Amino acid sequence: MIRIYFSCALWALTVFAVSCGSPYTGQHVSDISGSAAVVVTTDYRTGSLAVISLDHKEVDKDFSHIHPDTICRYSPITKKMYLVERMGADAIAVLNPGHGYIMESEFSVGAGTNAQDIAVVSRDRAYVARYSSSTMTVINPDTGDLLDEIDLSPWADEDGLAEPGWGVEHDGKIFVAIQRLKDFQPTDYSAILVMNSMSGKTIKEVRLAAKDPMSKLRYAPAEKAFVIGEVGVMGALDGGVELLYTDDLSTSGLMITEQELGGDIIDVVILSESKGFAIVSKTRDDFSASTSVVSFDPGTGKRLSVLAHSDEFDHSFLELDPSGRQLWVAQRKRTQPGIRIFDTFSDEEITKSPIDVGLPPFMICFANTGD
Amino acid sequence: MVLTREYAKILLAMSAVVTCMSLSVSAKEAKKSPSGQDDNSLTEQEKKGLEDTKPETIVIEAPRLSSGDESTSMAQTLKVADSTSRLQTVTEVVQDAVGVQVRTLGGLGAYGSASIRGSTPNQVPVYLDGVLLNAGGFDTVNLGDLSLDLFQEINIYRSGAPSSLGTSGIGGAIQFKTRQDEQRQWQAAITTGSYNTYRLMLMGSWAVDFLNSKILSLVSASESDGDFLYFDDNGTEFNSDDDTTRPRQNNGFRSITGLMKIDSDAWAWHWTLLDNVLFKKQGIAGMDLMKTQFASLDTRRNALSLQGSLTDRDGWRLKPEFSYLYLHEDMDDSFGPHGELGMGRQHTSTTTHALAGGLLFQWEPTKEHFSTIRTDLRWERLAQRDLLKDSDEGRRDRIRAALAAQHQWTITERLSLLPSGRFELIQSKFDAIQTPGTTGVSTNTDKTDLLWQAAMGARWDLLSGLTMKINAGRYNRPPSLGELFGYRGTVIGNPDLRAETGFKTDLGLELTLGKFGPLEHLTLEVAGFATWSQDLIAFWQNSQHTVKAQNIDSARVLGAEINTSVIMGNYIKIWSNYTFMDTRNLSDTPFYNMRRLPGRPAHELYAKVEIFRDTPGWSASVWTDVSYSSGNFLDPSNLKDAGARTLVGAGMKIASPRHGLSLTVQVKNIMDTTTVINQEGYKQALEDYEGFPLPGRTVLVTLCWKSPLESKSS
Repeated sequence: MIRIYFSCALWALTVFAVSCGSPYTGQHVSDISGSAAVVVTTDYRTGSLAVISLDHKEVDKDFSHIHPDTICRYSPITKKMYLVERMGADAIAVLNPGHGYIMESEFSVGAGTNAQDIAVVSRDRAYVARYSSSTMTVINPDTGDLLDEIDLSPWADEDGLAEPGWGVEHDGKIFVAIQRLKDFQPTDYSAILVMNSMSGKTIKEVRLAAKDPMSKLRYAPAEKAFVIGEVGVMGALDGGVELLYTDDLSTSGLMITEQELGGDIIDVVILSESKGFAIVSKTRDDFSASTSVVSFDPGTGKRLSVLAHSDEFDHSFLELDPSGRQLWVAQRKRTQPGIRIFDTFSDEEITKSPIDVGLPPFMICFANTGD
Repeated sequence: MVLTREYAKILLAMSAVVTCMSLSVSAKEAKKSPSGQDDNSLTEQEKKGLEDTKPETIVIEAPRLSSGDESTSMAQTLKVADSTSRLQTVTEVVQDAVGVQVRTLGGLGAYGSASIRGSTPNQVPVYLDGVLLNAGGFDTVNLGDLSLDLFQEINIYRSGAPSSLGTSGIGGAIQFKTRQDEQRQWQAAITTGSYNTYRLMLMGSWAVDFLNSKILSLVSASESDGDFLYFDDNGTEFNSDDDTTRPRQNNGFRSITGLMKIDSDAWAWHWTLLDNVLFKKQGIAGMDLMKTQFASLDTRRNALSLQGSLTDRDGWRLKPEFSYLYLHEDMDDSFGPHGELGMGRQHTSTTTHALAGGLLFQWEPTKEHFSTIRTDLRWERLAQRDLLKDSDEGRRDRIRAALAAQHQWTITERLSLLPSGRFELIQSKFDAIQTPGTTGVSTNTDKTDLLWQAAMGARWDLLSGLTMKINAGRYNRPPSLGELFGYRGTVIGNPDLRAETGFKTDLGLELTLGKFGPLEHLTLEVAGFATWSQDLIAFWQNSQHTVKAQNIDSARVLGAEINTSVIMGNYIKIWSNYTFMDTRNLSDTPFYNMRRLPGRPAHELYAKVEIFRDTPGWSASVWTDVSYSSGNFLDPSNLKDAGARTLVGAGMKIASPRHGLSLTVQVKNIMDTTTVINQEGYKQALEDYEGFPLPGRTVLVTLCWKSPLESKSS
């Protein structure tokens, strides 16, 4: 009992110290700490955060409001959760999963630069992709101090920008999706830029089979490759899923096309050599769109089944849980928003109804702190 | 569907026929009328000669038709003719009225919209001398485009608007009445002040013998850099270390507005021809963190109207009205690869034409009965071009035919009833052309709606000076052309939209006291109100890059308001009002359900005290006002609290009526309040819309001259 009291007192003291020792006054602290799913929610007017415990699926929703256009990224290196507050804030907030996801710092990465993603390389070095800037900035992920800037203008299209989107670190390299858009439409080609994570020097520009790698850049251990969802022109079914192998930086070509998947790719994950999942969107003649969560076989390039379907544009994001046994899907349905969980083996839904996370979920990030 | 269309055509044709027949009858009546029937058609000499021969009954009958329409409506009239002696905006004046909530994007000339008793802004029809300004792609009227210099008074109808005005919204209605000067006069005013603000107003009015006409001409030009200092949190709401204060940029404007008004008497009729033009060029400052340099908005407006009036001694009046409204916006955000506002490069022009004809017939057969019938026919067109792609979005046309009736029945001297009803047939049509920003081609679409409104009001004079009013009614707002057929590429049309409907009721007491002890005059108005709205139209994402309007919201508003004005001892005037509202979103959207409606504070208080002194040689006044609001949210999910705010203003005016000169000094937001503390304890910018800060202290000085003839008469 004394140990419990002591732990509680220590935790409270830590939270108090963190709160008092920084300008981040009046912080919200979640009841849930450690390994959990952080859900970014938004109605595009306000954003909010929810935390779901992985074991009992307890939810702490709306525990802090955030910028309405925000993405999350967990770094296993720093064991911190980073919120990239995109267009209109252009800032990064650092949450500590070990202490109730309290915000430890928040700093700007340049007003008007439209920050997109953060790739943490080490405790004191991270790369930030910024859509409306010709450079990629290198910062200290704890303080936001500027360390360096990487010139991306050689990869710019005719509008002068390369539109770097998602970025992630793997095995000493930074992989950045260069979307190359003009008026938010694809230009001649898109690419993945591979850089040395310490020096920032370009190793290779990998041109993609299709255009506009819009979905989150993820590493698939089963394929030893990055999974790239290339949407092309929205509504045209001209994209597909491509793999970028990390050992020789070669690509697979389109392993499955949007035609086969049945719609524009919104998000994609690969579980194994024979199973992957994607969200696809099908645009109708009246410009409205339906969405489906489908499974597919990366080996054969064939669609397997439809896990969920909505006549509205309701599915926005999916993520495999750390064990790989569950597929978490963000459902933005207006009347029933929440997180739906599917068994990755049987494709059956585990949740009886979507887990209520407050505002419609936009993105899910797992903090795997190992506790 | 075919049947509905046929009905639509028949009703439209009937409405047109009724209008033409009425005009024909009125013309015949005009021809039949003896020359002396309408005083307005006579020269001053003729009038003088006739006055001796007029039977006494004419004098008694004349005011019979001037009564009536507003007898049960909870309404407020703001007299603003004196506003030329200072620089005030329409939004500032209207937001101080009881029951009105105004939200602006910040600063002089900035976009501003009004809602009444918790309504949405597009549920408030706004009239400029009877010309409905909510038209085409401009279903919410930007009050920032209206110069207060133009107006004599502003009528705010918090209950339903009278049938004589036209359609009434779920939120009531606002009528701007342009200046009307009886005397020959000239007037000039020049203002300068903070943020390089300048304004020049020139007005002249004179009479000419031709058709016994009075002509009023007014020009008002103003500009401001709008570079006020605002609180900038550098995008890091939770980090106060990098907070700073910086000037707003690309927030300036230049505008010139003109008014020409001719009142004439011809063929026993009184005619008013009015034309109002506006040219305005302004920067679009964008959200606080997305600083812009070049984004701009050009606005043009022309409101032309011709109104006739024929009043018969037998107790009827005929008023034909014709109007043409032109609204045009050119929005340019094409600088830089992604534009400056973050929505991608855009350069669009939006144009609306609205042509309307109406006929009002009022009849007072006896002292107890007063009837009003109004028929309207209106055509609107919304056209939009993408100037970057040089593509046309297609034409959206609408024809509206309406028939409204209202009857005031004075049951006893103290009790009167006012039932009213309105039917409106709306035919909307879309000529399809490829929509920019999306793929595919939409189809030609027709839509026909039949709307009805009904209301009942009662007025009971309980005691001398004490009146009780009660109103209940069903009102609606048809979907706009943009909501029905899409707008600017990202808003996808939804032809299946239903009209928003609202049921509202109120109960109020009005007390008016004459001289009583130290009080020269006192009015006190207390009212409670409730509104239930359904099928409210809201936008929801329906694909990766588009949103679609849908009937998904409903709301309930309960409230109370108190409005007082006091004059004490001929040297102190006090105005105050307080509005309480409990607004709730009743939609089935779980994260909005039972949340408060954003931009509608729970508590709003306004008070103004003016001390004045008039002598034959000079007059002086000093005043201070305070406005307070709390319980307000910036977002529908109520996660962003707007914070409580208290704003204080002050001013003084010295005038020499003999010379027609006055000097006014105003200080708005005298405490320089630019931040508020929200419920969570964080400092944030003072703002009505998130990301759009409002200005701090603003000092303005105005020198005004009125021709002595006018000042003598005043």
